[in-house]
Amino acid sequence: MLHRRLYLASAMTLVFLCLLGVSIYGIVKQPYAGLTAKKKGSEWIISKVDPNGVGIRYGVRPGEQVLTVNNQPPADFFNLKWGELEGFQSAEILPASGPPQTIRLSNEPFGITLANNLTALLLSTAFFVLGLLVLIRSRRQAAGEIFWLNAATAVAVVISTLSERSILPAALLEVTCFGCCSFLLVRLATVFPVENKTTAAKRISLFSLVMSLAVISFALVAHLVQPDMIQTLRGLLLFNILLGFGFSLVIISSSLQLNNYGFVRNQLLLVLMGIIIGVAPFLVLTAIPTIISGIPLISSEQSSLFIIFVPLAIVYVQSNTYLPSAGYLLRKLTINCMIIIPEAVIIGYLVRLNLANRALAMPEILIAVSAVLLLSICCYDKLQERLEEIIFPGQAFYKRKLGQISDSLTGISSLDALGARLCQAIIENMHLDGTLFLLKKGDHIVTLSSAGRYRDNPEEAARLKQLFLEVQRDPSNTTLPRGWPAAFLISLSKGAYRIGLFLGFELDKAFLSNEELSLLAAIGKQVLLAAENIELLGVLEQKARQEQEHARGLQLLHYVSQRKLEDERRSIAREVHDGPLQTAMHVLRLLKGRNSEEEEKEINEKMADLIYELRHVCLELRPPLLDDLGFLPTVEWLVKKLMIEEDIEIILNSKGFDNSIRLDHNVELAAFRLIQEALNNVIKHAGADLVQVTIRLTKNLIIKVSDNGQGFDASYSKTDLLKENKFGLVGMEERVQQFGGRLKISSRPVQGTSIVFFIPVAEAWAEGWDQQTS
Amino acid sequence: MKISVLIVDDHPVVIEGAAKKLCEEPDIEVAAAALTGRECLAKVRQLRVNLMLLDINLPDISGLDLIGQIMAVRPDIKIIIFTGYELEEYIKPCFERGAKGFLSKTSSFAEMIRALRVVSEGGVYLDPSFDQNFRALINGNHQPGRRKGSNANILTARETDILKLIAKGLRNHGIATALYMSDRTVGYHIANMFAKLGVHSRTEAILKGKALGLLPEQPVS
Repeated sequence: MLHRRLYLASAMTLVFLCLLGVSIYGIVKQPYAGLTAKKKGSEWIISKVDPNGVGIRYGVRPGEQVLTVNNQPPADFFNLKWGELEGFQSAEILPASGPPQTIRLSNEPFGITLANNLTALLLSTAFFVLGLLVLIRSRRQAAGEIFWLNAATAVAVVISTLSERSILPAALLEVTCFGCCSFLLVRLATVFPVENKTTAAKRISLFSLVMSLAVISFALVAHLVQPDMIQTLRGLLLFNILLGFGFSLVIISSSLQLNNYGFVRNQLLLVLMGIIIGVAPFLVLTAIPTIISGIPLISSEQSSLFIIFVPLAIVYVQSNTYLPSAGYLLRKLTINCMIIIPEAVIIGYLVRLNLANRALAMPEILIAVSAVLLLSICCYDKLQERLEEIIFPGQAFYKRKLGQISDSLTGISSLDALGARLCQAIIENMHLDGTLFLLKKGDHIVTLSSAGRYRDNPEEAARLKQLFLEVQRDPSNTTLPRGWPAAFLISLSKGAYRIGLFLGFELDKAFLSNEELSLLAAIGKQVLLAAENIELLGVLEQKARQEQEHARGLQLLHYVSQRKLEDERRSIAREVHDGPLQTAMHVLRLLKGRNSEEEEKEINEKMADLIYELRHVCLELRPPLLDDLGFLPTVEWLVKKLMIEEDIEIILNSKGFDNSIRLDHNVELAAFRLIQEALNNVIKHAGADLVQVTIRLTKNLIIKVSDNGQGFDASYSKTDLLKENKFGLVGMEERVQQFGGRLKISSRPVQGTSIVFFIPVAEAWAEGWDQQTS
Repeated sequence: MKISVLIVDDHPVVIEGAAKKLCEEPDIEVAAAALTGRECLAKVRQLRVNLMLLDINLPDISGLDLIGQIMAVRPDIKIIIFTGYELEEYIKPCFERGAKGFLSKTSSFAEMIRALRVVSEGGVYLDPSFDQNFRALINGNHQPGRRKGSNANILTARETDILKLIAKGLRNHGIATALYMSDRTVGYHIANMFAKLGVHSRTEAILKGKALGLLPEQPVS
C-alpha cells in the first residue's frame, strides 16, 4: 500500500516537474500578448486587451482592427480560430486614428516575465507539494483523494500559463484538469473529514461527475469542431467549478448536521471555513462579475491566490485530528480583521495622500503611520477584548461550558473515573487538542487520565508526566515553552494532593484566554476537593469494613470462648470423674470394711492419690503460682512441667526480667495464658521436638515462641483460620488486642512456626496501679 | 517455756484438726488461730506467740507476702509454711522472705510436731517429701538446674520400666495404665528418675538412658 503510494507520488512528481519545466520554458520563450480578437464580417477586430499582457504596452486598444499577422491575412493565423491573438512574431494593427502600426512581440527580461507568472507557478507548486505531503505522510483513507485533487489543481494552474499563450493542446489539458477538480472536490467532500455516504451525497457526487464529463467532452468537441465556442467554454468551466464548490459545501454542511461529536465538528467547520475563505474572493470579485459583465473586478490571478486556503485547510485537518474550535478560530479571525482592516485603510489613505496629492510631507506621514501602529500595538489586546465582548457576548457561553464541566464532576466515587470524566468534559466543551490529568499523592501518581491526542500518544503523555513530577512551584498556571507537547499546565496542591492538568497542543495557545484558564484552575480546585472527598470516603468505608470485621471477630471470639469453656468444663468433669471421684469411692469402700494393716496402707496410698489428682485439677484450672510468685516463675514451672509430661524440649530465655518484677495481674494472666496456649498448640499440632520461648521486657512485653515443627501457611486470614477450626490463633490474637498489643505469626510449611506477642506494658502498669489505688 | 503457736489457715477443718493434736503435746500450746491475713496480722500484734503455722493460700493476702509483713512487725517470730501446694517453686521464696520451715499438709501430725520442735529450737525444717537437695538451697548455695550424681545404677526396676515406656512415647496416664499404677506414682517415679539422671525433660532422659545403656539404641517398636 505504502509502496504503491510512493510509486504514484514519484511518478506524479515527475509529470508535474516536466509540466512545470515546459511552462517555464513557454513563459520565457513566448511573451503573453493578452489580446483577443473577434471576426466581424471579414475583419478581425480586437475585442479584449488584458492589462497584464504585453499588447497593452504597445498601445493596442479594443476596437482596433488587425490587418496582418506574421505578414499574412489574419484568417490564416491558426490561433485566431480560438479568438486569441497570441504566439505571433509581428502583427499590423490599425488604430482608431492614424496610420497602421506594426507590433513586434519581443521577450521581456527573464525576471519580469517570471515575476508576472510567479503567482500561478507558486500556487501550483504549493498545491502539488501539499498533496504530495499528505500522500506520503498521512495514513488516512482520504489521502488519495486529497492528493488527486491537489495534483489536478496544480496541473491545471501550471498549464494555464501555457493555455493563455494559446500553446496547444495546453488549453485542452487545462479544461480537463479543471473539470476533474470540480468532481474531485465533491468526491473528497463525501469522504473527508468524515465519511458522508448518504443517498443525497452520492447523487450529488454522481451529478458532479456527469457535469464534469460533459464539460470535458464539450471542450473536446469545441476544440475540434467549433473553435469560436472557447469563450462559452470558459464560462461553462467556471460554472462547473463553482458548482463543485457549492456541492462540496452542501455535503460538508450535511455532514455537520449528522455529526455531533466535538472534534469531528471542528474538522468539518475548519474545512468549510477553508473553502469559504479560499473561494469567496474569487467568487465575489472575479467569477460572478465575469459571468455577469465579462469583466472581473480583480483579475483571477489575484483573487485565485486565496484558493490556497482550501488545500491548506484540508491538509491541516488531515494532519491534525484534534483541533482548536473552528468557532474560536472564526471569532479570533473576525476580531483581528476588524482591527487590522480599518488600520490598513487608514495607513493606506495616509500613504495615498502622500503619493497622489502630496498633501502631507514624508516625515509627517511617517509620524502619523508610526503613531497609528504604536497605538494599535499598545491597545491591541484591550481592543480585541472589548470588541469580543461587544460582538460576541457569548463569552457567557464558555462560562456555561465550564459550568458543564464542573457539573460533570459530581457524584463520582473513584479517582480514575474523576480524571477520565474531567478530561472528556474538557475535550468536548473546550474543543482542545487534548487533555492530560495527573493526580499525585505524596510522591506517587495516583491517577493519570487523558483524552484527545495524549490518549493516542503515550510518548507525549510520558513526557508530560515527567514534566509534572519536576514542577515544584505552586500554584502555577504555566504556559509551556515551544517544543513541549502541551500548551498549558495548571498545577495546584492541597494537603498531600497535587494535581496537574495539561491543556491543548501548541496552537491552542491562541485560543484560551486568561479568564478561561483561571476558570479551569477553579475547576482544578474543585477536582482537588473531590479527590480528597473520595479518599475520605474510601477511608471511612475501609474503617467501617474493619469495624465490621472486628465485630464479626468478636462474635466469633464469643462463640469460640463459649465453645472452649464448654470443652474445658467437659474435660474437668471427666478428669474429676475418672480420677479423684473413683479413688474417693474406692477409699470409702475400704473404710466401710474392717481394715487389715494391708488395707490401711492402701487407704493411705489412695488418699495420697486422691490429693494428687485433685491438686492436678486445681493447678490446671489456675496455677496459684501466678498470684503468689508472678509471671516468670509460673512460666518456669509450666515449662518444667511440660518437659516432664510431654516429649518436648523447651528452652526458656528471659531478658530484662527477673522474679521480683510483677506486672499488672491481668497482663500476667494474659501473657501466661498466651504462652500456655502457644505451647499447647506446638505440642498438639506442630510435631516439634524443640521449642524456644523468649521473654523480653522493654516498654513492651515481647514474647516469642518458636518451634521446629511442620509449620503452616501463615498467610491465611482470620476467617480462613476460623473456617478450619483454628480457634486458638484467633483467640490469641483477640486476647493480645484486648491489651492494645499485637501478634505476629511467621510460619511456612516445613520451616516451623514462630509467634511473637507484643503487649504494651507501661499502660498496663498504669491501669493496674489505678485499680490498686482506687 | 511452752511453744506458743498461731495457726493461720482459711479452712476451719485444718485449724481444728491441728489444734486438737497440738494441744495434746505438753510443750505446745495453740495461742490463737486466724482465718485471714488481716486477722493474722492483728493477732501477731496483740499476742506474744513465738511460732506460726501459715498457709499460703489465704483469701485476702498471699501467705508469701504475709511473711514479709509479719517479719516487719515481729522479726523474732518463727514461721512454718503449712501448705497444700507441694511445689518446689515455693520453697525458695518462702525461706528468702524469712520462713523457717516448710511443711506439707499431707504430712502426718507426728511430722508436724517434729517440725514445730525443730524450728522452735532455732533449726530449719523442710518436709521430707521434697528433694533434700533443697537443704543446700535453704542454706544459700543451691545451684538450680544442677543436681548431684547422675548414677544409672541407682535407678530402680520400676523407674527403668517407666523410662522404656517414655522412650516408646507414652504419656503419664498411659504409663500408669500399662504398669497398673496411679498417675501420682508415675509422676513420683519420673521425678525421682529425672533427679537421679540429672535431667529435666523426657527427651534428655531418653538420650541419657541410651547413653547409659538402659535403653536400646534403636527405638523400641
